[in-house]
This record gives sequence, structure tokens and C-alpha cells, in this order.
Amino acid sequence: MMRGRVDNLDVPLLGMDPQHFYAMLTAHPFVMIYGFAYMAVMGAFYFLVPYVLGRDIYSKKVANASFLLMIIGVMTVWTTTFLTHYAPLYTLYWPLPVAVTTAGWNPISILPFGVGMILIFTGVLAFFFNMFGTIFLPLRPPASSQPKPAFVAKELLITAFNVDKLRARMRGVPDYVSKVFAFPVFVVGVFRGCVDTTINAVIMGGVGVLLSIYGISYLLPSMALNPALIDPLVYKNVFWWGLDMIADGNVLMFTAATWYLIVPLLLNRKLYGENVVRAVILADLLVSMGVWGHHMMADTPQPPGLLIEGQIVTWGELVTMGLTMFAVLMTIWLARPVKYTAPLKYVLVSIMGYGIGGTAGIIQANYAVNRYFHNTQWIVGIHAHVQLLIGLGCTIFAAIYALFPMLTGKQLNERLADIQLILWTVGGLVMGLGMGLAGVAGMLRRMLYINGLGPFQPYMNTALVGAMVLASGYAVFLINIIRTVDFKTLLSIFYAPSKPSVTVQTVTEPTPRETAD
Amino acid sequence: MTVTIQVENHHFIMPEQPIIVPLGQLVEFVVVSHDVTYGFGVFRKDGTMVFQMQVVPEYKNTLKWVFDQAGFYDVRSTEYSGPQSPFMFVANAIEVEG
Repeated sequence: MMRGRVDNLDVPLLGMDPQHFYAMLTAHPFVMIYGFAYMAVMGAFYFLVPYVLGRDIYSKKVANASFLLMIIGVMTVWTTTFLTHYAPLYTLYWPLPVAVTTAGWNPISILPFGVGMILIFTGVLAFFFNMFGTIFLPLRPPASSQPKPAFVAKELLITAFNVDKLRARMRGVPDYVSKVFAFPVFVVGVFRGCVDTTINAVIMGGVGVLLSIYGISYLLPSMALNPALIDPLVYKNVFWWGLDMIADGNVLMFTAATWYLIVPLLLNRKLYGENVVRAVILADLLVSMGVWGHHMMADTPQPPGLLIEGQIVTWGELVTMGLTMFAVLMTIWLARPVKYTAPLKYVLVSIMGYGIGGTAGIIQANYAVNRYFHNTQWIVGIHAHVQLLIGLGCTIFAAIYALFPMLTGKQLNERLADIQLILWTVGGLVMGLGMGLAGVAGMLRRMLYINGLGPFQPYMNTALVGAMVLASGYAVFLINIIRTVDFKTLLSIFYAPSKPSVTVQTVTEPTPRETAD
Repeated sequence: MTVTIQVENHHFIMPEQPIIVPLGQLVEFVVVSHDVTYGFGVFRKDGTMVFQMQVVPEYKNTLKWVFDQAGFYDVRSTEYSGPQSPFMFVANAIEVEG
């Protein structure tokens, strides 16, 4: 629908006014990211992490709570934009979300939108809590004099940063194996991604709290808070630092972790270069903490040091993601001859998607180039949507196709999976390319060219065709699911009491190994 | 040469219409917003972009440029600032002479 509106198609329903269009554009990323991508990732990891570790999930209650919080939160955000046409967009640049006079928002829309955000990110924090508890607890008991939280924090930091190995080396302990090797590389990747996920949830949840506070104040006109209380440049930096924990943080790390699990399992082969990969997972912590600056390159009041830092640190993603792709492709190469099942095909296409979208990202994260590309269709087309649809999307589908038989005892149809892959990939690439070339020509994103698209029309027509092909690929996926499981079973997950479909063996704590302590 | 432009309530407040700029000489654009974040983008008559920058409210947002082609240029906001954004367009806002 949005593609049709941007294309200025003169048909009923698509000829929506700007207020309506931008309300949809606001809801779209919230629903796709937190309603689709996050839910798929949480679902996969809630099963896989306990399964791989041979433990039970730390708290089933918290897992169910996070499920409901995410659904209710996303629906609250969506409903608010649907009913009130509140449209600050996903970037929520201050003070636009609370600029009721300038932007014309209905003041009553700000509070429910903020509450919806709080619910979503509380759900995300609950997921992190569960991952932390499942992966890292219980530990061996602390010394009686040491408070448990401090002991847990110390053990976590020692394990995460390999401090125990460093100590062992300094003491000359031979053949010492780091504590972190008690955790499979998939679990290390998941936990590392959870760090970014949590930081993002705190920042975005904080924005939700801010909107809620302003929303409440606007309901009482005499108490209305002044938007100027918050510096817009500082806000933008903090906001992008937090938001990039998704875009350049957990998306890449969770994808990598999924590849590290699926590919060795499918090929019955150890991951190539696992020791290097573990180091890369840690190194990526530095990269994701510093990349946000590449979103600020068109802000001329931004301190020059931060602009330069943002560009240089972004190059680090070439190294981390490049090594990740290399390790996975080498694992597949060395396993030849290989049977290309659906999950493996989707992983390979995902790698291609990240290669294209990531390369576009590196191009635009140059200070001079960004002067032109900023906020154009290039950013959101050939970079963001190719990255998310082909890169992340195909990894999610790979995980679903791999896990489905384990969870349900049924196999999804391989032929339909192949058809979906072709339609999804071709559609996504055509759409991304159409948008990317429009951006090269100077077409802006988030813009309705109400007097006509002019030179951009052919590109938008192409993007519209690509979007329709992409959507048909998703329809094939839904058909595959419903044909395999049937509609009644799908609905039952919302009202039937959950019964475990896999018996997870509970194990006691790992056998004590030689330590440097 | 310095050109100062104010932006408020989804309107570009130009010092003159059009802004006359000499060909081949350095021009500094200073754009200030008094409410929300906008964008300041200069476009050729065929719709292609020349340059752009963000306009962060209550900050001086500056960009220096040398125009190498004479003619008329349009100005459009390049950052979303509400549903009124598509209407923030000033045709023939800049005339480069020389």
C-alpha cells in the first residue's frame, strides 16, 4: 500500500492523504521489527538456547510474559497510529513526537504510543533476563563473604573477556581452557547480541517513558511540559546510539549466531575458525558501541571528532561481518559435496543479502558521500531493506525451516520453500535496486512527490513490482505453514495451555575444570 | 557570501526571492529552525540533488558550497517534520548568476 502511494497510483485506498501515509510509515517498522523479526528471533532462541545447553528455560512465566508484552505493545503502537494518525516515524527525532502545534498531532495520541513502546521494550528486557538466567545461572556458589550479585557480575565479566585465560597464561598454567568454552559458540553469539538488545531496549524504552510523561502533561494543559527541556542534538546522538544497537548490533550478531548453529548442524561439521570467530564476537562489542555516528553525518553542528569516529568505526563492520561470512562459507566449502536443503539455501542467500546491503552501507557511511545520500531512497532501499529482507529475513526463514521439524514433527514442503526463496529474493532485490537507483538520482525517502515523480517514476514503478513479487513470496510461506500445520493448530497457540513438544534433559552444573583462581 | 535562512512552521523564510548567488564563488548557507528538525536540500530543475544538510532546531546549521552551473535551483526540506513535509518546497529559490 505504501509503495503504491509513493508511486502516486490513482486508485481507491492507495490515494491516501499524507497524514494517513505517514501514520502507516510510522507503524510499519515497529510491526516489522518487533512484531516479526524480534518475535521470530525470540521464538527460535527460547527453544534453541535451552536445547543446546541441555537445560530448561530459566523462567517459563517470564517467557510467556515477554510473548504477551510484545504482542500487546506492538498492537498498541499500531492501533494508536491507525486511529489517530499519529506519525512521528520510527526515528522519533526530538521534538517532533511532542510537537502537537507544529505537526498537528492529537495530544491524546502521545501517551498510548509511549505506553506501547514501554510494553514492547519491557518484553525485550524480559527476554534478555531469561537468556541471562538460562545461559549463565546457576553458578557455583559464591564464597560466603561475597554478595551474590557482585559475584555473578564478576564471573560474567571474567568469562566474557577471557580474564581467566589471561591469568592462567601469566601463571604459566599449561593447556588451560577458558571458562567461555563451556558455552557453544552459538550461545556466546546469542548472549553477545543480548548486550546490544538490552542497551537498545533501555534507550527506546526510555523514549517511551519520555513520550508517556509528555503525553500525560498534555492531557492537563496547565501542566504541559516544554519540549525545549531536551536538547535535540544530544537526544539524536543518544537515540541513534541506542537504535544502532539493533541495526548494527543485534541484527548482525543474532544472524551470525544462527549461522554458527545451523550450518555446522546441517553439515555435521565443526564451524571453520571457531577460535577466531569467538574473538570476532568480542571485537564486535567495540564496533557496535561506536558506530552510531554514521547516522549523524548530515548534522553540521555535530562535533567533527564524532563524525570521523563514526566513519572509521563503521569500517570495523567490514572486518567483523566479513570474517563471519568467511568462516561460514569455508565451513560449507570444506563439507563438499553438500546437500542443499531449504535452510542451507536460505543461509547462502542471506549471506548474499548482507553482502549487498552491507556494501551499500559502507559506501553511504562516508562523510562526503553521505552529504548526498542522506535520507534518500538509497539508504532505505539498497541498504536497509536489502539488509533486513534478504539478509535478516532469509536467516529467520532458514531458522524456521530448520527448527520446524524439531518442534512439530512435520516437514515444511521443500518445493514451496524454493518458490518462496525465489520470489522473496528476486522481489526484495528488485525493490531495493529500484529504490537505490532512485536515491542515486536524488529521490528522498519519506517524501511524497505530490506534483509527480518526474525522473524517479520508472524507479518507483520497478520498486512497486519488486514489492508485489516479495509479498507473493511471503504468501507462499504462509501457505506452506498453514498446509503443514493447519489453521486450527495455529490459532490454538493463543489459547491452548502450552505442552512441551521436546523433552529437554535437565543437567546439573558442569564438571569443575582447572581454573586460574 | 553568507545566506541566512530561517525555518518555522514548515516554511522556509528566505532573505529574498530568489536568492542571488555568484557562480564559482564560495557561499555559506546558515539555516536555523525554531521548532522541529527539518532538512535543507538544494535541487536542480530536473529534480536531481545538489547537496543537503539536516537543520537541527536552535542550532546554527551551516554548509559551504560553490555552484559550478548557472541557473535556477529549488529548495526542499530533506528531513521529515510531519505530514506537512511534502509541501516544504520553494521553486526557483536560488539563482546562480555568472
